[in-house]
Amino acid sequence: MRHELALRIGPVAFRIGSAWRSPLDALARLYAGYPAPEDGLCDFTVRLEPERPWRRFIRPSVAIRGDYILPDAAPLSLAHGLLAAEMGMNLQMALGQRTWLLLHAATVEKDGRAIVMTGESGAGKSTLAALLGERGWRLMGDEFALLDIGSGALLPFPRAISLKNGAIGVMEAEVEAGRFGPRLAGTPKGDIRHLRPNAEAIARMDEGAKPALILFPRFGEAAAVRGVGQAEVFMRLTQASTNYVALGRRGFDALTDLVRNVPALAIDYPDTETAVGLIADFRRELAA
Amino acid sequence: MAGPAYIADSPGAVTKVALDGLAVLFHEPSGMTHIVASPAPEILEALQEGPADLAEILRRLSEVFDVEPLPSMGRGWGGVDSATRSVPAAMPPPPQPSPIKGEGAFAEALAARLAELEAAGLVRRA
Repeated sequence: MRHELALRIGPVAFRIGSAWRSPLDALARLYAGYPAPEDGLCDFTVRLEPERPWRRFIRPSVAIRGDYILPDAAPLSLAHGLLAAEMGMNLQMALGQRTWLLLHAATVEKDGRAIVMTGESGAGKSTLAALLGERGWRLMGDEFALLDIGSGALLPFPRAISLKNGAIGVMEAEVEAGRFGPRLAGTPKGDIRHLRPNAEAIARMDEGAKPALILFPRFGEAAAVRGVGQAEVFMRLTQASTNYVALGRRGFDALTDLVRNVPALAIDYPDTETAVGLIADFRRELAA
Repeated sequence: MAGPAYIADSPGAVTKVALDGLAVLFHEPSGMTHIVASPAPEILEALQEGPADLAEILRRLSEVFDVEPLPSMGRGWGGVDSATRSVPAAMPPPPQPSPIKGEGAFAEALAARLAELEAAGLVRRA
């Protein structure tokens, strides 16, 4: 490819190639301070290519390609090239990852105890994780939780946090401007702005943690907490996993172990501050 | 009672984990996961003795269980398959005990459960 960038996020190394320079420049700024792959080898390759050869120059339209592709992935405008790179990295992980059980979940850690937050898109898990990451928790990841099949530990995957719409303002009030990517207006998911995790999250990206609590947050309701039965947790987590089926028996064993050993709660919350307060309460109970 | 005989895979082919009174089963030959409620695990266990028709399964179950109070599993609980993403987002409420009484009614419920297990690929005709 004309332009290339290699970077490591937690245990996964990516090579991103692009027909244009601008998305990689934006990506390099966003991931400033992240290590390069140690041995130069990459687990996944993402390619940003013109949808048609002539469209590198005329109304450029970015198609996401890689080792694993979705045939109906829609091309994005070049102005959204950074989003294309991020989506490409997500896609390679979601479709190609076979080493860990992947859960579509955000994870934060404190005192060696990790809280896994999973839910539908819009449940607020990215915002919650981003906010907790600035309030004394370590952000392990906002998109994917990597469950180590042998040990049951969670591994960090601290990608840039993808903030959408209302969450952008919440975090702009909390974090210095230099850690944000450009505001991408009018993407298929609305407005998006990426946020680089803080220095602690990057420095400790090789340090796993034991899962201590599984949370199913739901934004926009009056504050409420309820326990969730193990069978329901199991079912929800199979739905939240992108590679459960591909892992076969290994995935089944890892997920049933997680569900049997880790308590789970569903929380409704009207605003992120309420959720942060609830989670601080849970932490005190876990530590007691 | 004449009818088809059913057979289940050997115990090594199915891994069972109990979660809150339900059972999750990993079916090795298909790679599929099923979440089932009683009496589905008991039916599978009864078939470990060998192929059996409905009457024989009923006889085996009644050796271990009191048939009369055994609740019906309710429709749609026979082979919920998370692997194909047909699992509903939230659990439906637990099925109520069936009002049907007596061995005949139980046999009817059992036939329905067997049909569900067959559709899920956990039992097949011998």
